[in-house]
Amino acid sequence: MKKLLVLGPLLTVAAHAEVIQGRIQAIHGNLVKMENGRVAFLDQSPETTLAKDDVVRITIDDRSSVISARKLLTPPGPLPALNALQPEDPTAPFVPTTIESPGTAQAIFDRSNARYKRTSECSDRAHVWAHDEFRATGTKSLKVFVFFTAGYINSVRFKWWFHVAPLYKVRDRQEIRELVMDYRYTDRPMSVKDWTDGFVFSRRACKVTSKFSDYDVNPQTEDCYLIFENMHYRLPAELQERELTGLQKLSTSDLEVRQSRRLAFDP
Amino acid sequence: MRSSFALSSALCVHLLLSCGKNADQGRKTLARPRILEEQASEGLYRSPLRPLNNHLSGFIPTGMAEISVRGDVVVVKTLLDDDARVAHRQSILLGTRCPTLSDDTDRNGVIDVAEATRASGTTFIPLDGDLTSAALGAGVYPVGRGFTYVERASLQDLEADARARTGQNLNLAGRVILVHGVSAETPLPETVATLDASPRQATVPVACGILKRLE
Repeated sequence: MKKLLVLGPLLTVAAHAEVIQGRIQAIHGNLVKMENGRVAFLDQSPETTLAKDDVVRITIDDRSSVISARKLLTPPGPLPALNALQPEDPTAPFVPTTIESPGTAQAIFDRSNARYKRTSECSDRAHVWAHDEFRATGTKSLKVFVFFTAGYINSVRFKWWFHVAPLYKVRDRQEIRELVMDYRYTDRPMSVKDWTDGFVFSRRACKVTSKFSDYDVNPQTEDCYLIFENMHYRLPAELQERELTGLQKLSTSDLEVRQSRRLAFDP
Repeated sequence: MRSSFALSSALCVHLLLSCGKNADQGRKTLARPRILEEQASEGLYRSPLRPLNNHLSGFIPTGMAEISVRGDVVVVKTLLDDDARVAHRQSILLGTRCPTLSDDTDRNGVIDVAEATRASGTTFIPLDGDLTSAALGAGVYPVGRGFTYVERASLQDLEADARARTGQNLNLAGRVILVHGVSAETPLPETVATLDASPRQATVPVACGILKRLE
């Protein structure tokens, strides 16, 4: 298991610090990737040992550099979402709904719940938006995950290592288009490339893959990777699990949606 | 709605006088009943603030703007997260759309304040330290990183000031809210336009939204 050391809490605390808390998804070089998508940069000499799956409280400065970190006592239990993984059933594959027109797609976008919390995570917002639409109209959507490589993150001091949003298949005249609906960051449904251009400042196209491991290797020569999955996937850990076990996530429990709603939206 | 608005406005006039506003203000209020009728309807207006010029830092600011009009009281609330720790000039503009990259007419990769103004209109109401006057409170803007701005004003005073400067009534639905300001260290092309003598970084737009009436 890869381990790194981080600064102890006794160092000077910056005047403007931010605290991020949660499980460490991975540590790549100087990057601590949190399960919720945030990145912290290890820019100074380390003192405390951190490792994958640790539940931590990290204080970062304006540039996301780690000022201090401490492990929390919470044991890293199983991810709730993984309980929903099921063997793939070739007789009942997930088939996303095709929206009948761009106008209908715009209407779906416009009724996205706008009462998200300031500190909410993209994975929770996307999960609620997708499932609210499914419950309201029966529309099945996809999720598009974009994964930012260490090289890209370091080059622009990017704050996240992944981002996710609902994706809909939309009939536009004779063509079926895939449109991302990321209500917080964009003002309309848009193509995957237009969407990623908002986050990948090089405007380089992201490499499409179905394997999380394609992203999770070093050295990473791309700026970003894309994975398309069904609407039931919420977190990268589930994509990783699917690859390791061959089990698919084909449903979402009410509990999971309620949890995402509680975390990401005001009542 | 109109009659209740008029009633509540009259009540507010009474309350304003009762709460120590000076006599001049009272007379000013009573002298403009017709303007009142032309002002924005009571209600709640809201817009997500979505990022512009995302590439200028690794932080992509988003936020929310909310304006409530109840009787003679206007409350403006804006918030922004993942922004730079600088003062954020912000205002309601007279246009009806946010700028896009296609408005970057000089093709330097940055939508600057001049290009944004051409796309989204000139300033209607500066959201600064004093909503009721473009002069008073000018230059006093919220400071990030992660700010919450709340400012109240008399609807009549706000309308009077905005109308005197722009000739427009205070119709909020469909108007643009634009927020500016990146870190002073952000490198920008020399061709990026700015306002007055402000550094380019202070006036570069970073977030935008279109107000929608919710109720």
